[in-house]
Amino acid sequence: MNLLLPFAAQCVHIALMVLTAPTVAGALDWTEARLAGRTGVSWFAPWQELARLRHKQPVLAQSASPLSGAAPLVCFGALVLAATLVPSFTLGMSFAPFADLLVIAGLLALARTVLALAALDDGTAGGAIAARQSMVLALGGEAALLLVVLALGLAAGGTNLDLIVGAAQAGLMHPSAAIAIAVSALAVLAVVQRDVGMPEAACFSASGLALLRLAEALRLLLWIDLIGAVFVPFGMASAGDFPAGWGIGLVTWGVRLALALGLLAGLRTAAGRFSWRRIPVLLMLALLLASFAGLLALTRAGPV
Amino acid sequence: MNGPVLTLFVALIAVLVVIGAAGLTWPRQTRPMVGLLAGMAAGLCGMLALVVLLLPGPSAGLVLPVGLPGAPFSLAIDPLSGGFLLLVSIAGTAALVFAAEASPADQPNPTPALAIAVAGLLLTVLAADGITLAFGLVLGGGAIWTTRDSAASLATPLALVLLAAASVIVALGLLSPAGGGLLFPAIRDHPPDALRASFAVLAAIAGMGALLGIAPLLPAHHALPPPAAALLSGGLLPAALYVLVRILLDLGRSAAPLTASLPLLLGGAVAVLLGGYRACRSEELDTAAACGSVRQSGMAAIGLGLVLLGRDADLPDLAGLALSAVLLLVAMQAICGTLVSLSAGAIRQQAGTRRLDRLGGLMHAMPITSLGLLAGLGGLTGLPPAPGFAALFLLFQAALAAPHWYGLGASVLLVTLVLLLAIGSTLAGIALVRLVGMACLGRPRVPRAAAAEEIPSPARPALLVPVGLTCLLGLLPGPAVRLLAGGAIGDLTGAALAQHVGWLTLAPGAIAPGYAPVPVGLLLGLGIGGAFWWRHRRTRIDGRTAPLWQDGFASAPPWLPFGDPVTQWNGTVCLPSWPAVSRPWSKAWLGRIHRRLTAPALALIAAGILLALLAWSARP
Repeated sequence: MNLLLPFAAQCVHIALMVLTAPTVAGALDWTEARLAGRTGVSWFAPWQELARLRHKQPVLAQSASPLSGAAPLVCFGALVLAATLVPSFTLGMSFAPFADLLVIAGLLALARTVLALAALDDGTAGGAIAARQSMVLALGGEAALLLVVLALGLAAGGTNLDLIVGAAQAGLMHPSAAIAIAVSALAVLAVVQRDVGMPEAACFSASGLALLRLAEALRLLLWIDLIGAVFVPFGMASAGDFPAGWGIGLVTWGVRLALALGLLAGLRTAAGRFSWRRIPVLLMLALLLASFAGLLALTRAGPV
Repeated sequence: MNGPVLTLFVALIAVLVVIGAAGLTWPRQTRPMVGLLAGMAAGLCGMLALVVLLLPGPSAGLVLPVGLPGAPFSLAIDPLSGGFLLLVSIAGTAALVFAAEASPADQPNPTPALAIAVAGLLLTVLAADGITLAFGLVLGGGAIWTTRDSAASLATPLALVLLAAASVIVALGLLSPAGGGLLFPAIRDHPPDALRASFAVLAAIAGMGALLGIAPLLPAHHALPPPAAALLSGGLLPAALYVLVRILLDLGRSAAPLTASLPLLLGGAVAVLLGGYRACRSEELDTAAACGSVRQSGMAAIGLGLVLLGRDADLPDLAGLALSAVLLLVAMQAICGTLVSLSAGAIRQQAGTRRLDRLGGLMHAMPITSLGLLAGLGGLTGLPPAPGFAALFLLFQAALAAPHWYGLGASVLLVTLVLLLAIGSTLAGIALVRLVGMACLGRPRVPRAAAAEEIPSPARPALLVPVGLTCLLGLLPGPAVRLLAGGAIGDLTGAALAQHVGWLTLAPGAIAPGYAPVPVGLLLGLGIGGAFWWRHRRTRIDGRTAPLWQDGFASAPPWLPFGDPVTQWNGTVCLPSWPAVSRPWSKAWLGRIHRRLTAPALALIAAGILLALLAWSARP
């Protein structure tokens, strides 16, 4: 029973992440459209899109190497693993010991790098521009993310995500200002990811493109879960606390998700889509916030 | 066990020198045979090193009947040298096999000089006194540089090697007691006072820092044949890092740790930033690969700085974590650095150019070389499950465990270091995308690159074996660190290695196992397998290839068989340009000195300094 419930929680979590990710993306699009005064498409439009793409014939450029075929698989695999490691409704799932924030950051970087390589495999100017944009995004984004990990790791005493969320639940994360600033940096990064999307996706077609759309939706859900788990970790029960704990966890997860969707859609409606020229500014802001959070956490941390 | 192994090592080093010397006089047609014989000798050295590592025993020493008058060469094997011997042997074997089988027939074959260089580098790692160490460094470094194209000057690189050797003599001279003859056991038995030891350590950092940071960027590096560039990257740089580890952590224990820590951290940060930046801006494949070596050395220097910080704060856990990271970085440099240099060199040979804007599409024509470049550059990046990620993870955990009581300045430095580590890791990823994307992916840009052919079959193991080793190092970094320096880390830092580097995990905490590459790799494989299943489930739609959509550009005219160049990325702009800095020798009096300080003059000055130091070190 001690092993079974965490494993069951892990399986439910994986299923939830993969099955709800396109729906969450659709819900976000619908909310944005409603806030902008438009009707908006169905929440399930991304699912229809996935089904449509999956039955189309893939077209590859004449110069494409096997990398082009493998890139969507690796990108999806990396993002699904990263999403698997970020807790949603319970703590202490089977894979929790491997859920290190550095590993999650590394998996996000792996997905981005493989896609950038595949975009260059086409040999077109469009693919190269997409790869360059992605790399510029990586330069600021990954540095900011690692500084956030430093701040959270110093405050919680380790970089394991379950450890961090547990410390946040117990109110042991100090100083609180550093955590708040670190989470703000994460939020800025999430907004940037949402706005930029996956520019390399234009180089793919059919089932490869469907996998990338699913991966993009998973990445959005991952960011929402990550920020929610660190900043509002309330209601997340232990994996062994079945069924009451799971039920409460699922409800609070839904509330967190709804809040995040509302905030993201509201921001998009109020500020509009950030143009590519404003993205480096946002990245610098995230980097500054993350540096400040790291510095604050270091200066306030006691002797080892 | 170590005694007979040391004797065998000496015999193999002698064989390498004899093969190299004989190869210089034999006809050119015999050079491949010379290379294979030397490669076998280097491979045997690697196997002996494995024996030393797998069957650890007490340290063994040997005094040779050759050397300077009154100062015979003295050698020793201990837990620290075993791992470095293995790494230098791997790099040497790969370079020699490549040189024997893939060197163009119409160009001078570098195998004899490389055999001597491998012997010199092995001597450096085995040395148990300052004279032998400096001699090995000069022999190894000098022999590598002699293989350069005749058009390039030999004086500047030689001066650099001589100055590095001189710094070693100065450092060991300061550390050794009067009449000790620069022998390591004498230094260990009679450590100097903290001030002398601190100066010694600073001298070693200056010399080795120059070798690590400047040698790969010299103009003469362009003129090195591919296997020589690979041995420089995978053999000389790890040997130089070994010298730093030996002097900083073993012989110079009595030095004030912070004195050496700060220059290492700052110098490492500069090297990470500049090396990474130049790797992303360089227009030539092999220059970018060399800049990657500088970045890698910078990360190792930061790791060494953290080791000293841990020693100063009496935090053996921090020192153990950081030293494990340093050893992993050195292993990556020896394996992945060799792989990248050999692959870049093979592309240069087969495609007839090193310029990125004249390459492209080599994944089809040279699949094994492209795989080598991808695996080598991928291994150096901080992407799981590559070995670079394991090293970054350990360095990050060490930074997290660093003491916080030095004040605001130290906190700013630590945050800056983490920021630079992150930027360095990202720059490695950008370099991977840019170099592999430009050289191996997409369409060919010129007819010469389109006509490139894969390297000959007998030379392919020189690339494929390091590819396999890179995968092993990525999936099993813990066993690799334990194998390479399991005993040495405990001896040098006082840390219990098992607490930080497990067989399957790195930096485990009280409740979390840290980074576990095998489960992460397995889960990643499961995710990829699941995606593959979803993609092909109940669909039997075969893909088709089609001509490129040129983003609205008109079709290229017939005289541009690879399309209009403007429709392909030229790779020259990847990052913003560095702000221009006025050069100090723009002033008149500095300009006069700069003009007179020609390369031969520099080499002469360096040789003079080295001789003077040797005379000083032989004082009674």
